[in-house]
Amino acid sequence: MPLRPIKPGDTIRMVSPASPLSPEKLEFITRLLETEGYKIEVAPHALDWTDYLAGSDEDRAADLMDAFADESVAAVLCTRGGYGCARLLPYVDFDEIASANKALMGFSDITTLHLALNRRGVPTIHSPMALTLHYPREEFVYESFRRVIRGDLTTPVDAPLAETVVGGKVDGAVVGGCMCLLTDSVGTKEPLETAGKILVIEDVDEMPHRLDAMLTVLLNTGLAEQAAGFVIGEMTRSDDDDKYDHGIGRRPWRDILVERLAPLRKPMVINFPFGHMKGMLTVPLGIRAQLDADAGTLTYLEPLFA
Amino acid sequence: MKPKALNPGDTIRIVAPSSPLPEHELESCIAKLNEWGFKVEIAESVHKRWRYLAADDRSRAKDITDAFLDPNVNAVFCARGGYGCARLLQHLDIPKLAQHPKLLIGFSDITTLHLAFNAEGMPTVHGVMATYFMKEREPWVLDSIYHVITGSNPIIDGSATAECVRGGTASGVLLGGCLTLIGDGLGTSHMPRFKGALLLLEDVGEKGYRVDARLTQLRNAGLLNEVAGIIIGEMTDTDTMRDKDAPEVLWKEIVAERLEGINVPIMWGYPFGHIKNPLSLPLGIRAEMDAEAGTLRYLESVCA
Repeated sequence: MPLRPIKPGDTIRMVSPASPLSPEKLEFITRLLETEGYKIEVAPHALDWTDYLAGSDEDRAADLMDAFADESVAAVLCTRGGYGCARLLPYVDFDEIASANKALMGFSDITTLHLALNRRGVPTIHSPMALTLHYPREEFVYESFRRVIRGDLTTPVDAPLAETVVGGKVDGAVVGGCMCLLTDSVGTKEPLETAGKILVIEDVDEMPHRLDAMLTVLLNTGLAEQAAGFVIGEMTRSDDDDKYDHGIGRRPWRDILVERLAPLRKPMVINFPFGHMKGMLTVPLGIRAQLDADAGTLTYLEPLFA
Repeated sequence: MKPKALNPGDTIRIVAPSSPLPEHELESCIAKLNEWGFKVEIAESVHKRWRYLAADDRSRAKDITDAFLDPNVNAVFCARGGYGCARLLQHLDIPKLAQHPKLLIGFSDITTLHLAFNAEGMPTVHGVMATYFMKEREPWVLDSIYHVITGSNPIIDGSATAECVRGGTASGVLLGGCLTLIGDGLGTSHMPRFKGALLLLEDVGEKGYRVDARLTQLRNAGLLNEVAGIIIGEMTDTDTMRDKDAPEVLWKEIVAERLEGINVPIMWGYPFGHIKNPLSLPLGIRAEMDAEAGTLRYLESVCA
């Protein structure tokens, strides 16, 4: 079901369902969105800070629920990922949130929330967050973000194309995000569901053998086999010299992804520009797209907004 | 489907289902097993190396299958963990291998095999691996593994006890091991039933928030709500890997908070896993824990 549109003059509320951040990190994204004509609100607990969490589970869940329930809010933007969304599962009524039919924006740890909404048929937006845009990005990153919020799902021409691993074309709803959150969802009541879907995968700071382990989870559970195709972003920093367990060993992340997934012979691209890589597109989730693995493109087949 | 205890002259085969290790690291282990009167055989993949795996999946799986099906092999001893057991599941016929019960010994990444064999009703041993024979340990470390493989009580008098987190006694089938691998096993067809079990948990090299994330996964999957008791070893190295943003959170604080509301006996610091002086603990058989005393007692033997 298409989302409630976000029009100039509408309010976007920022929430922190995962890890904390300091107030100056909100400045750039606020300016960018205000320039586009949107009003920006900061949820009451968005700047709370309790160790690695942005406040208590109850408060983070309440901010999230309130943002979706408040009619004056058109869309909900997460300030950052980090860790903490999985802890909210017992406190959030996802059916209620889904019924509001509003855009949820964010990525990384926010993957947990994307999964819960997408499996209820509600599209979401895999987008940069306040912390992401606090650091300078290429122009197409901003342009893609602005376009998707307006409902324009075309890709800026200066965005790089993905590389072909397995050629072919396939249609399906787009699902996925940060791999460790995808696998952490397995066995819970808000699990990754891949049947007939285009699975997008990226991650950051994972050791090479853990990438293999998580892909093996997707294989051993049948989730990889059920997917229609694979769009791989980047496993950011996994090839860094300080990123592997010396007692176990290393291997370039691309080789691991190709070795585990390419034998399934489904259309597959790699280095698709999204996720924790510097040049990230804003990627709608939960709506249908066509993956053209030969061309390295993802083309949306239905609108994001009503 | 319990394995048989070993007698002098029996054969132990060393396999490498996960990561590779330098062969000289097997020497002390082989010498000790020989000294105890056992013959030692080395499976082929122990001599190989394929990236971060001891050998390719088919070779490692074949070594395990051969060890279980060879009537001249009496126990299967894992050289080390690391990573790789999960990759073997599609290449192993676990129900068939479990029809040939043998002592399977190891921990860490081997947790994946423990879960898979325990799911088929075959007990296994969360026990020390080759490198534990190399350095000086408390006497209970080698006494415990010797007791396990010869069919006597692995809980050695004088070994360390746990600290109570939530008092009470509970009994059930002991299951578990390395937290990360338990999380990775969810959703696969190779998980035992945890209802009424005593859950063993430990890990190494995980950041605090990942310990939180894994416990949250077990919570959200309902697993923590159905066990009868929880026995935690240590989250080894977690406190030295703390994020500069949250330096004050120690693993015990994270674990205690995530286990709030789980109203069963809980203890931590029990001697098993990635610590200097672990006991070797049979899995898949009934035991009783006393959280206030910090003790574990087996109610049956791992061997037939």
